[in-house]
Amino acid sequence: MGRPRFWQGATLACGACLALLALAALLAPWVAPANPDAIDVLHSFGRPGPGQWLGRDELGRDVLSRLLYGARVSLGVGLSAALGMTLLGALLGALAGYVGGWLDGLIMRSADVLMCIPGVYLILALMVVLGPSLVNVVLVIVATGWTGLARLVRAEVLSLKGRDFVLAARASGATPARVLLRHVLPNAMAPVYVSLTFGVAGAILMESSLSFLGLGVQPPTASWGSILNSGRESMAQAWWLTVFPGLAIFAVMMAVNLLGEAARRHFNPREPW
Amino acid sequence: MTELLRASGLVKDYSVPKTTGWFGSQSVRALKGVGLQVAEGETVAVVGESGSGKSTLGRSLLWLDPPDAGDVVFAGQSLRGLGASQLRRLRRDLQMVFQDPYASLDPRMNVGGIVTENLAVHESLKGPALQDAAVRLLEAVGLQADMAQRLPHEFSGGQRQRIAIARAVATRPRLLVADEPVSALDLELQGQILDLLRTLRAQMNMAVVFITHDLRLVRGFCSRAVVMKDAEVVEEGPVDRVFSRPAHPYTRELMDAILPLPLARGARVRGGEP
Amino acid sequence: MSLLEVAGLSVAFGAAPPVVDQVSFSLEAGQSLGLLGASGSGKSLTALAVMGLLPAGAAVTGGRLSFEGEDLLAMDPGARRLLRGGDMGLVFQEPFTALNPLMRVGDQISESLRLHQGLDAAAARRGAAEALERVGLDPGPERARQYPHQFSGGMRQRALLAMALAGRPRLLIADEPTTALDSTVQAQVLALLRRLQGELGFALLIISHDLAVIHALAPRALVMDHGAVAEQGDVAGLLNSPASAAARRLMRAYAALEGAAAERGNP
Repeated sequence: MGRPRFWQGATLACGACLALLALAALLAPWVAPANPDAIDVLHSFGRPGPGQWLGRDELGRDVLSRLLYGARVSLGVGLSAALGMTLLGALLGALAGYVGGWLDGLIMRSADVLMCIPGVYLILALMVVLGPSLVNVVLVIVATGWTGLARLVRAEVLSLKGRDFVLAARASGATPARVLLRHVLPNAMAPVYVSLTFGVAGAILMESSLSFLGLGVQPPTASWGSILNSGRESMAQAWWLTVFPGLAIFAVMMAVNLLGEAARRHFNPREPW
Repeated sequence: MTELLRASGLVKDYSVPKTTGWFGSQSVRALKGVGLQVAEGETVAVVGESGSGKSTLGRSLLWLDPPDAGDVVFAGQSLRGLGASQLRRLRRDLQMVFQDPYASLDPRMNVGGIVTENLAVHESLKGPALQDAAVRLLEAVGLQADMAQRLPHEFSGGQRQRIAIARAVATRPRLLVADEPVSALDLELQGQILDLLRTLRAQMNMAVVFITHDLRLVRGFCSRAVVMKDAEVVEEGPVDRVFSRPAHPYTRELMDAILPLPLARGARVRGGEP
Repeated sequence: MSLLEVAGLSVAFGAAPPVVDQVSFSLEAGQSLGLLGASGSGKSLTALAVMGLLPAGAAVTGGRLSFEGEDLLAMDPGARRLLRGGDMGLVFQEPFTALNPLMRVGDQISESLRLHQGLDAAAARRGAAEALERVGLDPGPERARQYPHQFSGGMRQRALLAMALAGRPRLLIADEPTTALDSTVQAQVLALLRRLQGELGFALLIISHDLAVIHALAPRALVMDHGAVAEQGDVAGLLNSPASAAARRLMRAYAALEGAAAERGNP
């Protein structure tokens, strides 16, 4: 059948692209054609062409180099924030669902309170209080983003708790920890993969937005969002300052989403692929 | 025969959502002071229909779903008085086979891992020893060794039930509670699974509590029968007596409901493939 | 002319080997016939083929199906659909999922009545209440207002029977109608089916993996194995002197239950 093979190829391509990007980001100091902070006012707003493949920004800095260095920030923030958010959400959700009682109440009410406050405002408020820095960005995204996954994992765990095979595991004399880790959690992973991938995408976007608003990275550090920010005013004459960072964000989000879909299907024992 | 298990005064309530009205729940009494004794190596049938409380009784006997009142004394130990880890250790001798072969196996574990779970928990077996045990167990229930790597969804209902049985007998439990182990299977397969249980029981001198709603299966397998209706025991006694001279009207009702077959007197069905 | 004629019926999923292989039988008006076989023997698919309800991917690859002399396979799909629930009724195994949980039981039956007998709303409601009473669910009007979750398994199966019979079928196909039910309820539902057949005179095709269920309703049965008919004959003959290997395998299970059966119902 054609469709599964297509998805296999596209997924491999996504994985390869992301891996390449990550590699390029890591090796930025050696791969970037120019110093990302090198100001060259004479060439400000240089059009894309040889030597400046993606153009130059208002201070004449090479956009390609800034994008590569910026990838470190964006991907780094994206991955760590998503990982933190997913781990915290999965852990709290599983505990709430499996242990129940007062712990469930505590965790879920905290989640309810957090979810009542509109996410963006909460994050902005926290960033203003904590001060702009990359670590704070990650912490804030993790602290506000765990609630959705916690709810989903709790629901999965609650429904799994009543299944015969979990009862069988308890009947075998396994400790509650073993039952939770070996039987319940592996079967509750579906929302976790989705959360991880959407989390990466969302975190990158959130970091970009925060940098766009000046609450993320501070100049002269490059991040995709900050490049977008500075390109905002000059969209008419220097389209490359918004288009290329935007494309980069789009590409990463797309790739991560497809990979997440693939992971979800791969780990589902029933779907053939 | 020495007494292995004695349950007395078991009471269990469940709260279920109301079927009428918008909100609220009502309390359903699933066990109304039920008692049961099982001797070493004995096979006892617990017979009843849906809602009789027989499945709840099965779970209560193993203290998987602790009853609200009453106690179960197993091999001289009161299960109610046991601490959590002592109870867990005792589970190697108290095992269960569940009704639904499609729900009782972890869909993500391979079959070898499933059947050796109890051994991993109680005897800390690992690696090659565990693999050998898996092969031994699978072959004991009539499956092939190379099936150990496969996942449950690759097997039919009858095979899955064999896997569930292998899992339950891995630690040579002294008591096995089989909750409708063959109800989800075709009649032909029912006989095969019961044969397997009979063989294993004899090999290990395992006591079996056989929970079922199908009386036709009881006679060939159990020596004693306990009849339950509406969360209570209404009759009990040796299988032959209960079948030929049922005392309670409900038991008679159950007997009458057995569908007759036009078996010619003395007919012997010649065997086909085993 | 038989009511239902099945000649050399074959069904397959795409290019795979047939799951129903050259099955032939006929059923006269008002008569009963059993289809006995294990899961996967093709008995359910045969019934679905007769009803025109084969799952996606499966198709009739050969043979003839005729109902009251008319070729079912050549029939216009619209006409075939009208037969379903009308002259041809089907009762499944799972009473828990075959009823719409969001519709009152009476409404589900009325729907069928309005479609097949063209009754108006009021007449259909009365008809639904009557149908429920006929299957022992009294009082009809109150039961009609209830939802499936308020019925027990046996009651739901009776409601399904009421639904299937509302269209006054000439042929009723019952596929494992009592497998999910307790033994006392099973006996009641089978007795009900027998009584209704006496009252309404429909032909009955009873499908089961349990010969005792078939024996309660039909004098003759086909034994199916791997899609093909292994043997046909009257139930007593099949049980006591099976000729084919497949039938012998199935009957061995009963030899084991001989004890219980011999005590009870051996005339």
